[in-house]
Amino acid sequence: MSKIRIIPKLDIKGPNVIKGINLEGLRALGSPNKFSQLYYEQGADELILHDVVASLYGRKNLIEVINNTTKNIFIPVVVGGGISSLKNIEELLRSGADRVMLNSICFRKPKILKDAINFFGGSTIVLSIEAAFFKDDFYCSYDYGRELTEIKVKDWIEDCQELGIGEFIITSVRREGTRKGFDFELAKLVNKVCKIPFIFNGGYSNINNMRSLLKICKPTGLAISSCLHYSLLETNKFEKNEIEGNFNFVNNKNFSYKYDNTTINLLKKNI
Amino acid sequence: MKKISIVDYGMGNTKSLASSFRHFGVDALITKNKKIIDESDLIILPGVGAFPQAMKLLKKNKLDALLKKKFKDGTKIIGICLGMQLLFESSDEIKKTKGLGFIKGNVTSLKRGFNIGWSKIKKRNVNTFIEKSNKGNFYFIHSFKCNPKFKKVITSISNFKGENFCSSVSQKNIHGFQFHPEKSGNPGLKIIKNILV
Repeated sequence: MSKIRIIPKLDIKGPNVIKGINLEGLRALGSPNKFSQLYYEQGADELILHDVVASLYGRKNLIEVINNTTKNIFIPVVVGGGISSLKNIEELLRSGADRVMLNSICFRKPKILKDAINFFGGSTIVLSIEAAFFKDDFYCSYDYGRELTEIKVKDWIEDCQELGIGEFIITSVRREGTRKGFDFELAKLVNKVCKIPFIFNGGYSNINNMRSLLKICKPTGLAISSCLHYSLLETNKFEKNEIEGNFNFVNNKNFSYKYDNTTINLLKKNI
Repeated sequence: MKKISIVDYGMGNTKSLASSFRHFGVDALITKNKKIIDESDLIILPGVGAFPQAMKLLKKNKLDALLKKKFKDGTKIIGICLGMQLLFESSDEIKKTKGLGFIKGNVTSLKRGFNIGWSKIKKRNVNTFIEKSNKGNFYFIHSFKCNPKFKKVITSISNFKGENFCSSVSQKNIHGFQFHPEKSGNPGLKIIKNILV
């Protein structure tokens, strides 16, 4: 039986890893190469690279980032952001991605999901669900949380798992980037409806909180960003591409509130 | 110097495989050029995707016939993940489809859905690329499994939610891995290194 994977998630904008809160207010942190390399050396089970503005900036940048990042990383790499065709998926797999993550396009061109599964196999396709809480339920959002749909998360999970997708990644938009703990309400919902493997994401705060989450639902992986990134920033110097992105936050080490120093090893030991 | 080809038929994480060879200073060619593949000492058949589509593309590029020729002349061929499944006679994925048929047996679905993640392998045979003291975990991502007709070709078995399945095979010049050695960190890199020897 496989163990729960610990999966650092790197959100990428242009040449830098960035991080926001609730998928907004993006801060530039440094080069994706070094983040990836350090996570690989620390024993990460997989990496997610998510180009948060791929649909705005075009795809060339993402391909270049993957090409460089995956050269010396011998663990699976999931790549997402702005994928709009089977051709895009093939390009990413050729550049060093092992799996791809789809979201926005599934609302615009629902047929692509079925086609992608038939062509690349369900295990290659990770369906990303950005779950936004609105009034009294979770709804699917897309474009890095910018667009809200009228589709309920529970209905979307039920529909999509029938299609033969290998895995979901389910993100709580309201907890994402907050380091305030996982979204237990969302976890309960997922536990009830989801019958296939899923990665849970958004809000990791500390070991106890993680353990409580794992009592509510049984994910195949946990995606974690802020706590891991900021812990790395405390102890490492990062190459920064300052042509783009606001580095004030990182340069001043102005980390707004306390968080537990987090390493992959620590997470694995306590899972 | 060995010539290595990674068969590029449009499906597969070809770049990741090439990077893992590059790690040991070896350049592998990602190619569908039949002449280059024909002249190789080592042929890697990757595969990420669905079985029927993979066979269709191999046939379209006439690579199935070339691989059969190389199988017969004793060239070392290594199938990874779907690439391993393609070495068998047939698969039930989506619709029953004939495979390359180098190894007797078929491919059927796992009982309990997708196996995604890191698992142990239990070595069954001495004559493989798998290290003797093999304690690491390996990365699996599949929902179908190979069922070799003759158990002696099985070189390791693994377990997914209580179901044992064949996780690697060797039969003379033909070898297959259900997991991804190129994506399994150091334990996987050891296998890549042994393949290159």
